[in-house]
Amino acid sequence: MTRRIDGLFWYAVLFVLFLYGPMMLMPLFSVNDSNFATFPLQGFTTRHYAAMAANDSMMAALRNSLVLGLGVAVVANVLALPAALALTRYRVPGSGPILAFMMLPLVVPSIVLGVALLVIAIRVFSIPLSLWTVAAGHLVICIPFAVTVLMSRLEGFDPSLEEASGDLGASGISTFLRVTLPLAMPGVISSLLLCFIISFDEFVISFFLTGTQNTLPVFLFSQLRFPNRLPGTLALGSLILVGSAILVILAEVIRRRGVKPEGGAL
Amino acid sequence: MTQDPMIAIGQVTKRFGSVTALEEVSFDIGKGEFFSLLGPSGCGKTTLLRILAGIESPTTGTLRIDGEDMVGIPPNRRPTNMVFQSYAIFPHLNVAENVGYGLRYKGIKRAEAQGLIASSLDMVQLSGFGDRQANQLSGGQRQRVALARALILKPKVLLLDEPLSALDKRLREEMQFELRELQRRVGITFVFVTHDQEEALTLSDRIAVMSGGRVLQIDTPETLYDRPASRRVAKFFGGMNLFPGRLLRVEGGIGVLDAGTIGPLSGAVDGPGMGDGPATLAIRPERIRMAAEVGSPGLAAQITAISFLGDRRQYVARIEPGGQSVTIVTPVTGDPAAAPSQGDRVSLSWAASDARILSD
Repeated sequence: MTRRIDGLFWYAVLFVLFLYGPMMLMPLFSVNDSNFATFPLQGFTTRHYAAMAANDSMMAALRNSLVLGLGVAVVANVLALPAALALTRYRVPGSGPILAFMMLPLVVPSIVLGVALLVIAIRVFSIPLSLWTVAAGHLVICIPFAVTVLMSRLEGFDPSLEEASGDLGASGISTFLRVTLPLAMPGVISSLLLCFIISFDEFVISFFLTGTQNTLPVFLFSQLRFPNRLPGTLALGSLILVGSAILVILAEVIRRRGVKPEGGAL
Repeated sequence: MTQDPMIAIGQVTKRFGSVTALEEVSFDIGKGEFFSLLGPSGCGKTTLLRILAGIESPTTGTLRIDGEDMVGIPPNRRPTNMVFQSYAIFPHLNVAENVGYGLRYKGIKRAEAQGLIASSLDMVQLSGFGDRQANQLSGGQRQRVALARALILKPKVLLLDEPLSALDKRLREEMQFELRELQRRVGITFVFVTHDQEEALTLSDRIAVMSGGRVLQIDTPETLYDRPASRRVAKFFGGMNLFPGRLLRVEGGIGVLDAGTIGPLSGAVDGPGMGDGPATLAIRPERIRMAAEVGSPGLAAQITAISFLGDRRQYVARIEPGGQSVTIVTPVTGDPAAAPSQGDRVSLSWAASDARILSD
């Protein structure tokens, strides 16, 4: 019995190493005093971080990605919330097919989406490629995620709460602002974080739809041709790694806190 | 009801797709009445309550509350407030914020609201609970918050959807009493939905017994208990002994029922209009006389079970020809040895005026 648990324990250790080991090399090489990401290590330095901060085009790409992620997250949620409300609160005719259709971007390979959106942007609407076209592409893949997360939250609370609000004199808008939105807030926040990360992380669609302003993943990809710039990339990568870990943990904490006390009360 | 009714329901029908939840329901509810809608789950009582609240709208029919046409008026513009079965206490607000939720829609200012909230909490005996969070409340407290939140708005009609069903037996009995007291004090018309016949009998001025989307009978608790209009109503007020058979004749308000192997049984017949045909004789357990000696006039029976209920004893006896079981309840008096015991042969009888012969 104990032997089996031991075996499983070592399996788990290997599993985690396999998953996160490669990523852990990134912070390690980012403080290695060498221009090449190879062993043996040469000694500690922070110069790659300084080089990163001094790299204007990299900082511009980072800024583009942050603004893009934020904007996409907000717009995706503004669009997804009414849809999620309609699908959970009302008997919408054909809600099954509508939902399936909305979830389609989740399963279509992003390279197919990227090519299709490129064709639409250039051939059909003749829109010049820019951050706006990238944003539109990111919205397509973020909305299904936002709808899913928001729907699970909205289904989680008693619909008689909204009926009670109306019964006590509140109009539809007032009920939304005073009851629905506060109760859906944990879902809204985790959906915002999720959409931000999806957009920040997205490469394929961005690669097809980007104009002169690069997003960070596209910029980093373009830098791979220059080996001496790799340590700066590693420095940035390390920072992003830490940042995303914090965001994901935050989202999970908020989601759990939002679910728990209410689950106990109802 | 000499004055105008508070609620006038006219030919209300409600269909959900192909399912008919309510079929041509019509009745009035008086001002200040404690009116109960009683029936098994799925009988349409909650649907009717939700139509009164405006949460559902009738497929066809009319509804007037205090003389005003309510069709098409949304819940937030009706003079009704509701206590939901789940209580629907807002989990993100504290008790005071829950109770004061609707005040702003009545144009009541913050300063005035504080006083109203305090006196409302006082009315439901929750003074000092204002700062509690919703999830720190017990079931009984949640119910009081729901009551205070609705009554603070001074509705003309308070709608209650099985508000006591989630409470345990003791608390339920306590709350029944409180609810009745509260209703007398505030004088507001209460419409109370329940599936519990005892609860309805205890609380109500009048009860509408519903089944399958229709109203079977509307009467006072006393009348419903003593003189149910049909077999289905009698069956619903549990414990009645029912003997199916055919009505043979009616003379001077007393009918004779041919109950097959049991023989002819007599009971009161209300009103004319009951021809011969299938009918049921209903008799309450406490109205049956039980005599120990065999041979006296009455139905010969053998006692198969006895249970002691404190102030009463309940017997189950099997009638000799036919084998139908009958329940008899007698008060506990004097010498316990004198009471019949299991296996004893007894003879059962009743005054014809205590039994009722009912159509189906």
